[in-house]
Amino acid sequence: MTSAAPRLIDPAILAQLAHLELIARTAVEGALMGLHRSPNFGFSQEFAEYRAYVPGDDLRHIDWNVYARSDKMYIKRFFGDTNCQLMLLLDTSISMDPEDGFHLGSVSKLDYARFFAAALVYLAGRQHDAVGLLAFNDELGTYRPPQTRDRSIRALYHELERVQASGGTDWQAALEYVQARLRQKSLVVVLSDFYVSPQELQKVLRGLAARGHDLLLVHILDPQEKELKLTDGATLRDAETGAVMEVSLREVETEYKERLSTHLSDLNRLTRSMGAHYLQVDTTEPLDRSIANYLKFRARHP
Amino acid sequence: MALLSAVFLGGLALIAVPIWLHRLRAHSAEQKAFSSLFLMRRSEAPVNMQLRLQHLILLALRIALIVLVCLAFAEPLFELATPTEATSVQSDLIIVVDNSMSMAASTGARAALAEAKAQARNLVSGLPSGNRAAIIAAGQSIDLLTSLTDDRSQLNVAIASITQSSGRLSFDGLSGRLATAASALVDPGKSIELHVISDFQQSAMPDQFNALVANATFATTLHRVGDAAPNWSIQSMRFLEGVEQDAVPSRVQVTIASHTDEARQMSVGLYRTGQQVASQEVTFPADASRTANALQSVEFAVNLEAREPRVWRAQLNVDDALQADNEHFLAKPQTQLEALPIIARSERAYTYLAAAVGAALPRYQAALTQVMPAGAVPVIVVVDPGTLASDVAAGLTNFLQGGGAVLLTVGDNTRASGELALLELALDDRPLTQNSYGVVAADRTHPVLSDQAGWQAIRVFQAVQTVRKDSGQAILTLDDGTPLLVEHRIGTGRLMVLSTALDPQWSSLVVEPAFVGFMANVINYLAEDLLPNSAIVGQPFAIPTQSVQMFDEDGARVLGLSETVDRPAVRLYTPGIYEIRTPSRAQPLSVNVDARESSLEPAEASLLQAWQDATRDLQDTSQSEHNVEATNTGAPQQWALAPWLLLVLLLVICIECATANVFNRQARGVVA
Repeated sequence: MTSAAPRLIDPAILAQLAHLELIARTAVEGALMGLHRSPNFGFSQEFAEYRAYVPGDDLRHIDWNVYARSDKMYIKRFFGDTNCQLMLLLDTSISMDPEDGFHLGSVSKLDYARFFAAALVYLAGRQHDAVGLLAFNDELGTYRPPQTRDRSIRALYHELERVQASGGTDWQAALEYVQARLRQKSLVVVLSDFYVSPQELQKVLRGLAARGHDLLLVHILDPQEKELKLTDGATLRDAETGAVMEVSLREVETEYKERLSTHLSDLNRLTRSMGAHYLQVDTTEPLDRSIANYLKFRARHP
Repeated sequence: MALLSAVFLGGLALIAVPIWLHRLRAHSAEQKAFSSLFLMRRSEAPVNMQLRLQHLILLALRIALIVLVCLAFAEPLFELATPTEATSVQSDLIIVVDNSMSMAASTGARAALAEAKAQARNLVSGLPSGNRAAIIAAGQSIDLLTSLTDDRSQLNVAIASITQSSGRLSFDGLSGRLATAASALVDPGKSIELHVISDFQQSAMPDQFNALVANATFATTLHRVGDAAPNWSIQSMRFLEGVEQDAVPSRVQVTIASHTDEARQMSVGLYRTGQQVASQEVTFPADASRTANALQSVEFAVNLEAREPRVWRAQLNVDDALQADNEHFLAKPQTQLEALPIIARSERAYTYLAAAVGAALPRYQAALTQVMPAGAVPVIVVVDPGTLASDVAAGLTNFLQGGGAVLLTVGDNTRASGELALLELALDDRPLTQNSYGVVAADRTHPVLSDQAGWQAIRVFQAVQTVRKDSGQAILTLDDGTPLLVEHRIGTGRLMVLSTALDPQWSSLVVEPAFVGFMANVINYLAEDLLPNSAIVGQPFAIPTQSVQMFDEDGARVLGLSETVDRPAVRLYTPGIYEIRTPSRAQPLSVNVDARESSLEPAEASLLQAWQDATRDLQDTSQSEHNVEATNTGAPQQWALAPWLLLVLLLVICIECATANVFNRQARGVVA
């Protein structure tokens, strides 16, 4: 990680950029630069194939040179041009950014999720994909249906900047809400810390998966949550429920880590069992690397 | 406690530092918001409570550390025996062990004195740390064996050194005597508890209860030892007749007392020079001590021959509790007829003297003479010699130098000579200013005046006075201060000068009834016939002469000249036969135990309890008065506490370091 540092962008530095779109562009450009030599990333403006024109195709995509030579109308297709519809589900519960909480990363999970989402919005905008957003916690927050217009894209940036962490998480309500509104097969990206039972999550995601939506769960963790550093007898307060619990040193150093490991593997396993995908990132990871990982993931799962 | 440097007490404000630091730690240990406790499990053990307790312990240790530092530098002083606090007064013990003769009574395995010493040792072993005790043996005398000390070995040695005496302990005024003896021991601010260990004989109790507690200043605890074991004793022993006349034969009466209700038959033996000369049986019926049979006498016929030893001993042969009172001694007084030379020119004066000697001094036979007597005589009377013949004067001077005694009276011849014979003192020729004078005692304790009060009726019309008025010791004076009867020391002898004549024209002395007794006293005194021939162990008896020596039966000197010179009375502490030697004669002296010690019946328990209670009341009053006095005048003893505080501080630092280390390791999970 240290050797790659010069080309990687620390989320803390990104956080100093005032404009979320700028953050997203910086992150995405960095990611693209890093992936430049890869032959498999194949989307965006790179040529893929020709196909015959069918009515309804966008006339802008007709290759007029081929038409001039052969008098046949062909549509020039690019790898990235999939007419993908991206739906972002952003968990804005308080656990994503606990008040007076502690996090080892330079940014909170919500900020990181915000940056990650903005990068995806930026990517989608570059490929003219429709992108939508649902911010949710125990209530349904901002909802933007997937759209491709620049104004909508900018509105998404604005919404992402505006969201605040609060409340708990009502997974069922949020996913049912999205499920009811997505009529086209979409890539549904869920950004959350997933403090939920994997079985319960599987239950609520199963509907989306059954409808053919491509699911990607981006599990954002603070390093503190993975390597919890507490003294014996520390008293913790659940940011969402307010419950207070005294934990022992043994609990912190051993049992919690085991349960977390089990939780992560369960999430991964259950997600895969229903054809969804699971991506784990932590808030200290450079954002462009996370984006690159995402792009690699998309390359493997077009 | 006195805090001398209040400035350092300001340092106590530093206590706020550890409190503040601990509060910071407490803040850091407050609740932390965590994303979710979804994956957390509650700790089974209340870790926080342990941590809080650990923090409290550390906080207390650190506060104690600061307090100790501040206190140490504030130089606190601890006041010992603060006078205003009666509760801080500690009690010292004065342990009085009765070693009178009755304590020799054996009540079984051991004598009462051994039991008393065991109790005394118990008191010493139970002495609280820091308290002191003193040991007093009270028998024939009050002997302070130790000062107040907390050295138990010294106290035990003193107890072991207590030996059985043959004297008598009377509780009449004992409290006062003990208070006097212990007064030098008492420290201000400390109370004294008196523990008396005794058999508390009824016979040792005073007639009035007040005498028990008179002048008592100490709370008294009584420890009774011994028991009323059967005992018989020789109450007395005396010659019945023929002693004065030196008759042969005579009789000796021995009286035996029973101090028990037990019937017993016993024998009484009479011994002379160690040989038993007679023996008789005595039988006491049951309950004899309650009846007239308590005393039974036996008589022995003896021969009182002048050349034979004059000491007798009676021995009661009975197995009883007390053996010391089964023996009694008797000394026969001097009965041999002696001449009393009277050198006189006046027949009239001789007549008066001879009549007085014949009436009151049967041992003496007055003999008129003009020359120095040839044989050894104890006393020579010289009546108005005027100027003595040189051979007579030389003889009298030698007689006096050799320890003899002379009574010199004056008269017309002496006045005419202008000087006092033998003393060669010039006479003052001025006549007396009054027609008659009364007589005043200048020394009422003098043996000559001991039992004679008739001299007060004597009127003196004429007297001579010497130019030197301060010569000799005046025994009687005229009421204007002119010496009338004066004792002079010449060599080892004594010269008594009567400054008036044995003549009715000079004084009424010869016609007063007191004359006979007066002359008898003077002659007896000069002849040293007032020497006692019996005494009680431990009780003082008068020594009428200026110096005597006493020897026991074995010829060992028990009292030397240095111990009897100018002493009106002496004591002997061992029963037996002694010999009193004066410059002119020797006389046996029988010393016997006090018959009152023979009765072993203890005083009633109620009396002893009342005695205790009374002294405790007195003690309370005395202690409160003492406390008031100490409050006004006493200076408390002070101890600097700083060194001790620094020691404690060092200890607290060590404990704090060790505790903090353990807690820290626990917090880091090293020890968990």
